[in-house]
Amino acid sequence: MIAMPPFGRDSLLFLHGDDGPLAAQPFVDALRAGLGIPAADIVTPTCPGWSQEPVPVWLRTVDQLAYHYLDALDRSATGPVIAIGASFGAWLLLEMATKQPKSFSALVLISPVGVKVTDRETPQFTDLFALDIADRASALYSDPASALRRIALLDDHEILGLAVAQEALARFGWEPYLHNPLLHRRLHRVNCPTAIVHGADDAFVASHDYYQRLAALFGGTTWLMTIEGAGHRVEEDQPVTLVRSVLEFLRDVR
Amino acid sequence: MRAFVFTEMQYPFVDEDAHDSVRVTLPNKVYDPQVGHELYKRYFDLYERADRYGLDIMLNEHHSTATCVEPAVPLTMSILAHTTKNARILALGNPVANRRDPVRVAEEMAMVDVISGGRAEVGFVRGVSQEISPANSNPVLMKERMWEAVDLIIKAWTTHDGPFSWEGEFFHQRQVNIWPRPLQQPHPPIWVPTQTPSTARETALRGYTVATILNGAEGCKRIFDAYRESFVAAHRTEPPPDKLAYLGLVFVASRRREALEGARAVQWYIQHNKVAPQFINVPGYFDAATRAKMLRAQYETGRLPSPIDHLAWAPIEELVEGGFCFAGEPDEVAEQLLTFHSRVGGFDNWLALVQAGTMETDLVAPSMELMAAEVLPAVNRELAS
Repeated sequence: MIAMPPFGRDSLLFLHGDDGPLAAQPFVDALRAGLGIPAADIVTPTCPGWSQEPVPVWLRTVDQLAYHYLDALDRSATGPVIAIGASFGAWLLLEMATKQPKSFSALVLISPVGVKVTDRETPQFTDLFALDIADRASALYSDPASALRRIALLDDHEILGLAVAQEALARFGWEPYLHNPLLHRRLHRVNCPTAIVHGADDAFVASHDYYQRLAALFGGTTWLMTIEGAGHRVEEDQPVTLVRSVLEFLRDVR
Repeated sequence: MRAFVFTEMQYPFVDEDAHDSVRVTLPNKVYDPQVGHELYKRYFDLYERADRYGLDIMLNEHHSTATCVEPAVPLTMSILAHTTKNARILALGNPVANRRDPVRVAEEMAMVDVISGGRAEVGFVRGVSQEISPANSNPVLMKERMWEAVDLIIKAWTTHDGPFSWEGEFFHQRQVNIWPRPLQQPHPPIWVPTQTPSTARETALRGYTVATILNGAEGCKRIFDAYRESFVAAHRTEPPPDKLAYLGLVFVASRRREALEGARAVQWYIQHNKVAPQFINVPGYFDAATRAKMLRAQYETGRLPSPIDHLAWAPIEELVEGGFCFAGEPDEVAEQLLTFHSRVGGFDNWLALVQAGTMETDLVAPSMELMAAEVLPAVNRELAS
């Protein structure tokens, strides 16, 4: 179900975010250049639901997705890997890493969702499904006007990709909305070095201290990194600065 | 042919310009319960008169909206089950993809069937996209959920030897053993409203009645053709015409000028349905290719045109020509209905939206009376010959 090529010595895993591989491509390209590694060494599987391949009816939870990713990782990697995930992709990494911590040597979580720390009357994340396109852009991007202009320029294939991605996010994240209520109770199992990177202008999470509170739940050492000029979609708002932060973290932990 | 009269039970006193949407997000402080009390009296009076005239009744259910203050169709059905004598009482329908407990739906409909003496007609509907947020219903796989719910409801209606368990993809129940069971055997007739040929085909395979709404003659024919083709393939016989239903706007009066004025009042229904785009173009509700086109419109124009926008302010004559509306003196309406009948290949259930906005019963009742006393007999005479 999940296709991954064999991992090499320098390979790392990247799990795309809510809007799919296309939105993350500038970041992936910049990271590859920054690391000075061949294209194949960043393993970028497309999550079921984010391509136009049919998804089985029973595949509706991130919990279940995580097992399929771990199966693929077990087949493709001979030891622990460095993994990077953005938003939904970071949630998926958290599910994987809590189930099988030994598969990861370091994690980079870019604006992770998946965990809720607010009370029952305060949604942890802004309801993307209740926003018009302008408010949606304001919730996700540091510069919503330029994001809107960028999206308006998408060609037919790309806008279809966006529609497919939004449907996939609804499939896996509609209810409970973008989180697994039990995940915070097992985050202590994640014991590899972990960087949580978020935008200084992130208006998507309910509370400013969300990422700090999240970082405190892990079993290993965590790095909390804030990127100026970025909203929730750090990899789209500031791909180059984000790459610098990721490289810095990887230098520290390697 | 039978006629089922219908009002959406609107709350029409809303300043639409002051709000982004009259559905989902419109604060209920706009709703005056005292006014609502009088409106319910109007709507139930209208339905009770329809029963006295010999017409049948159609009801529906929507949530968080001024366009239809009827959030629980079993409640309206049960009131009319008790206060009417002869009318068939059609729910079009129960939004079973949004209901968490299909067994409860089976119980509600069985109870209505027993109270009414076997007059329940039970529709099952996926629900419009605006219903998804109020129900917090995952918009992905709604059809699959709907059909599993229907299967479970039918099993609950038709199992009489004690409890059974259900452990399906979407629903789990234990000790299913409903009391009361339906009066109609093996169960009340089942209807499915749809605007898409694919659902019409599934409905035909299952042998249920298909209904389509404000689709015009061409759109209606597409749905009916899909249904007929699938029905013949599955059942080796043409579907009887009572398996097909169409809803249009209706106003009948003894003078043409009054009829057109009345029809314009019913047209209010289409004109006042302002919905924010994000509650229409919900991910997963439409297929991705359709949604992509809608997204393109949203990003380019900031708005999302409704597929029935063109009907909102069209002249009544144009709506009649397209088969969206039936309006005129009784003989004219009978002729319009017969023409429509022939254009779509026949059908037996005429669903008539007879009231909208602030239309009072004194205005609507004579139109219903003429439907019952003159239009239907003329149409049925002609169809019989």
